[in-house]
Amino acid sequence: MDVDMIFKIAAIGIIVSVLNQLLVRSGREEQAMLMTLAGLIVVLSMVVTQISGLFTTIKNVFGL
Amino acid sequence: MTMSEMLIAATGILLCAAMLAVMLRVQKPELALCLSLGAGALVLFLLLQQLTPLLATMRRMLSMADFPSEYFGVVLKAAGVCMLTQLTADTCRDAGENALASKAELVGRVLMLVLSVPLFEKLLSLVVTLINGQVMSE
Repeated sequence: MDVDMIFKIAAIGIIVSVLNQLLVRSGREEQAMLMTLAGLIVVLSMVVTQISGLFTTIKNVFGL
Repeated sequence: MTMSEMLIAATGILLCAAMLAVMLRVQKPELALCLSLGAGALVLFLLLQQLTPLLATMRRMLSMADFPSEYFGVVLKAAGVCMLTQLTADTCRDAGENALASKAELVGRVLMLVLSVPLFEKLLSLVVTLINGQVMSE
Protein backbone atom coordinates (compact mmCIF):
# COMPACT_ATOMS: atom_id res chain seq x y z
CA MET A 1 0.00 0.00 0.00
CA ASP A 2 1.75 3.10 -1.21
CA VAL A 3 0.81 6.63 -2.20
CA ASP A 4 3.20 6.30 -5.15
CA MET A 5 0.65 4.04 -6.81
CA ILE A 6 -1.76 6.95 -7.36
CA PHE A 7 0.93 9.03 -9.03
CA LYS A 8 2.00 6.01 -11.08
CA ILE A 9 -1.56 5.53 -12.34
CA ALA A 10 -1.87 9.23 -13.19
CA ALA A 11 1.48 9.19 -15.01
CA ILE A 12 0.50 6.10 -16.98
CA GLY A 13 -2.78 7.80 -17.89
CA ILE A 14 -1.05 10.97 -19.12
CA ILE A 15 1.59 9.05 -21.11
CA VAL A 16 -1.02 6.78 -22.65
CA SER A 17 -3.24 9.67 -23.67
CA VAL A 18 -0.34 11.61 -25.21
CA LEU A 19 0.90 8.57 -27.14
CA ASN A 20 -2.69 7.84 -28.14
CA GLN A 21 -3.06 11.32 -29.62
CA LEU A 22 0.29 10.97 -31.42
CA LEU A 23 -0.69 7.62 -32.92
CA VAL A 24 -4.14 8.85 -33.93
CA ARG A 25 -2.68 11.97 -35.59
CA SER A 26 -0.21 9.84 -37.53
CA GLY A 27 -3.06 7.68 -38.77
CA ARG A 28 -2.41 4.47 -36.79
CA GLU A 29 -5.78 3.95 -35.18
CA GLU A 30 -5.27 0.25 -34.41
CA GLN A 31 -2.01 0.82 -32.61
CA ALA A 32 -3.61 3.66 -30.66
CA MET A 33 -6.34 1.31 -29.51
CA LEU A 34 -3.80 -1.33 -28.51
CA MET A 35 -1.88 1.34 -26.58
CA THR A 36 -5.04 2.27 -24.67
CA LEU A 37 -5.71 -1.38 -23.95
CA ALA A 38 -2.16 -1.99 -22.71
CA GLY A 39 -2.34 1.03 -20.41
CA LEU A 40 -5.66 -0.11 -19.04
CA ILE A 41 -4.35 -3.62 -18.37
CA VAL A 42 -1.25 -2.34 -16.56
CA VAL A 43 -3.32 0.02 -14.39
CA LEU A 44 -5.94 -2.64 -13.70
CA SER A 45 -3.30 -5.12 -12.56
CA MET A 46 -1.97 -2.51 -10.11
CA VAL A 47 -5.42 -1.66 -8.80
CA VAL A 48 -6.43 -5.31 -8.47
CA THR A 49 -3.45 -5.96 -6.17
CA GLN A 50 -4.52 -3.01 -4.00
CA ILE A 51 -8.13 -4.16 -3.90
CA SER A 52 -7.16 -7.70 -2.95
CA GLY A 53 -5.05 -6.27 -0.12
CA LEU A 54 -8.02 -4.20 1.02
CA PHE A 55 -10.30 -7.24 0.92
CA THR A 56 -7.87 -9.30 3.00
CA THR A 57 -7.61 -6.50 5.56
CA ILE A 58 -11.39 -6.09 5.75
CA LYS A 59 -11.76 -9.86 6.19
CA ASN A 60 -9.23 -9.86 9.02
CA VAL A 61 -10.53 -6.75 10.79
CA PHE A 62 -14.26 -7.42 10.59
CA GLY A 63 -14.06 -11.21 10.79
CA LEU A 64 -16.12 -11.77 7.65
CA MET B 1 0.87 6.85 12.61
CA THR B 2 -0.98 9.23 14.91
CA MET B 3 -4.49 10.50 14.35
CA SER B 4 -3.51 13.89 12.95
CA GLU B 5 -0.96 12.29 10.61
CA MET B 6 -3.67 9.94 9.40
CA LEU B 7 -6.03 12.86 8.78
CA ILE B 8 -3.40 14.79 6.84
CA ALA B 9 -2.41 11.72 4.84
CA ALA B 10 -6.01 10.93 3.92
CA THR B 11 -6.71 14.54 2.94
CA GLY B 12 -3.57 14.72 0.79
CA ILE B 13 -4.16 11.40 -0.91
CA LEU B 14 -7.81 12.13 -1.65
CA LEU B 15 -7.26 15.67 -2.94
CA CYS B 16 -4.33 14.61 -5.14
CA ALA B 17 -6.32 11.67 -6.48
CA ALA B 18 -9.34 13.89 -7.16
CA MET B 19 -7.26 16.41 -9.11
CA LEU B 20 -5.45 13.71 -11.11
CA ALA B 21 -8.75 11.96 -11.81
CA VAL B 22 -10.36 15.17 -13.08
CA MET B 23 -7.31 15.71 -15.29
CA LEU B 24 -7.47 12.15 -16.66
CA ARG B 25 -11.24 12.04 -17.11
CA VAL B 26 -11.14 14.23 -20.24
CA GLN B 27 -8.81 11.88 -22.12
CA LYS B 28 -9.23 8.47 -20.48
CA PRO B 29 -12.31 8.04 -18.27
CA GLU B 30 -11.53 4.37 -17.57
CA LEU B 31 -8.09 5.19 -16.14
CA ALA B 32 -9.64 7.96 -14.02
CA LEU B 33 -12.03 5.37 -12.59
CA CYS B 34 -9.12 3.02 -11.81
CA LEU B 35 -7.30 5.87 -10.11
CA SER B 36 -10.22 6.82 -7.90
CA LEU B 37 -10.77 3.16 -7.01
CA GLY B 38 -7.10 2.72 -6.10
CA ALA B 39 -7.08 5.89 -3.99
CA GLY B 40 -10.25 4.78 -2.22
CA ALA B 41 -8.73 1.39 -1.46
CA LEU B 42 -5.56 3.03 -0.16
CA VAL B 43 -7.43 5.38 2.18
CA LEU B 44 -9.69 2.60 3.45
CA PHE B 45 -6.58 0.49 4.11
CA LEU B 46 -5.04 3.31 6.16
CA LEU B 47 -8.32 3.71 8.04
CA LEU B 48 -8.51 0.01 8.84
CA GLN B 49 -4.98 0.12 10.22
CA GLN B 50 -6.19 2.80 12.63
CA LEU B 51 -9.34 0.86 13.41
CA THR B 52 -7.65 -2.36 14.58
CA PRO B 53 -6.50 -1.16 18.06
CA LEU B 54 -9.86 0.57 18.58
CA LEU B 55 -11.71 -2.67 17.90
CA ALA B 56 -9.45 -4.57 20.30
CA THR B 57 -10.25 -1.98 23.00
CA MET B 58 -13.97 -2.26 22.33
CA ARG B 59 -13.81 -6.05 22.56
CA ARG B 60 -11.99 -5.76 25.90
CA MET B 61 -14.58 -3.32 27.23
CA LEU B 62 -17.43 -5.57 26.13
CA SER B 63 -15.80 -8.61 27.73
CA MET B 64 -15.56 -6.63 30.98
CA ALA B 65 -19.31 -6.06 30.78
CA ASP B 66 -19.97 -9.81 30.20
CA PHE B 67 -21.55 -9.02 26.87
CA PRO B 68 -21.68 -12.06 24.56
CA SER B 69 -19.01 -11.50 21.92
CA GLU B 70 -21.03 -13.07 19.07
CA TYR B 71 -23.35 -10.04 18.99
CA PHE B 72 -20.41 -7.70 18.56
CA GLY B 73 -19.12 -9.98 15.81
CA VAL B 74 -22.41 -9.59 13.96
CA VAL B 75 -22.18 -5.80 14.22
CA LEU B 76 -18.61 -5.86 12.94
CA LYS B 77 -19.53 -8.10 10.03
CA ALA B 78 -22.38 -5.74 9.15
CA ALA B 79 -19.94 -2.82 9.20
CA GLY B 80 -17.60 -4.70 6.84
CA VAL B 81 -20.45 -5.54 4.47
CA CYS B 82 -21.53 -1.87 4.49
CA MET B 83 -18.00 -0.70 3.69
CA LEU B 84 -17.50 -3.06 0.76
CA THR B 85 -20.98 -2.45 -0.62
CA GLN B 86 -20.56 1.31 -0.42
CA LEU B 87 -17.17 1.14 -2.15
CA THR B 88 -18.60 -0.99 -4.97
CA ALA B 89 -21.76 1.06 -5.39
CA ASP B 90 -19.90 4.38 -5.42
CA THR B 91 -17.40 3.09 -7.98
CA CYS B 92 -20.20 1.82 -10.20
CA ARG B 93 -22.03 5.15 -9.88
CA ASP B 94 -18.84 7.04 -10.76
CA ALA B 95 -18.57 4.92 -13.87
CA GLY B 96 -22.10 5.99 -14.79
CA GLU B 97 -23.59 2.54 -14.14
CA ASN B 98 -26.48 3.36 -11.85
CA ALA B 99 -28.14 -0.01 -12.43
CA LEU B 100 -25.06 -1.92 -11.29
CA ALA B 101 -24.72 0.39 -8.29
CA SER B 102 -28.23 -0.38 -7.14
CA LYS B 103 -27.56 -4.10 -7.64
CA ALA B 104 -24.52 -3.78 -5.37
CA GLU B 105 -26.67 -2.05 -2.77
CA LEU B 106 -29.27 -4.79 -3.07
CA VAL B 107 -26.59 -7.42 -2.46
CA GLY B 108 -25.50 -5.51 0.64
CA ARG B 109 -29.05 -5.30 1.98
CA VAL B 110 -29.73 -8.99 1.46
CA LEU B 111 -26.43 -9.95 3.11
CA MET B 112 -27.26 -7.68 6.04
CA LEU B 113 -30.62 -9.42 6.40
CA VAL B 114 -28.88 -12.82 6.31
CA LEU B 115 -26.52 -11.62 9.04
CA SER B 116 -29.21 -10.19 11.27
CA VAL B 117 -31.96 -12.80 10.94
CA PRO B 118 -30.44 -15.17 13.58
CA LEU B 119 -30.30 -12.27 16.07
CA PHE B 120 -33.89 -11.33 15.29
CA GLU B 121 -34.93 -14.93 15.77
CA LYS B 122 -33.28 -14.97 19.21
CA LEU B 123 -35.06 -11.76 20.16
CA LEU B 124 -38.37 -13.16 18.97
CA SER B 125 -37.90 -16.40 20.92
CA LEU B 126 -37.09 -14.33 24.02
CA VAL B 127 -40.31 -12.35 23.51
CA VAL B 128 -42.30 -15.56 23.08
CA THR B 129 -40.78 -16.98 26.28
CA LEU B 130 -41.66 -13.81 28.19
CA ILE B 131 -45.25 -13.77 26.92
CA ASN B 132 -45.77 -17.47 27.70
CA GLY B 133 -44.33 -17.02 31.17
CA GLN B 134 -46.74 -14.17 31.85
CA VAL B 135 -49.71 -16.17 30.58
CA MET B 136 -48.79 -19.14 32.76
CA SER B 137 -48.37 -17.02 35.88
CA GLU B 138 -51.83 -15.50 35.51
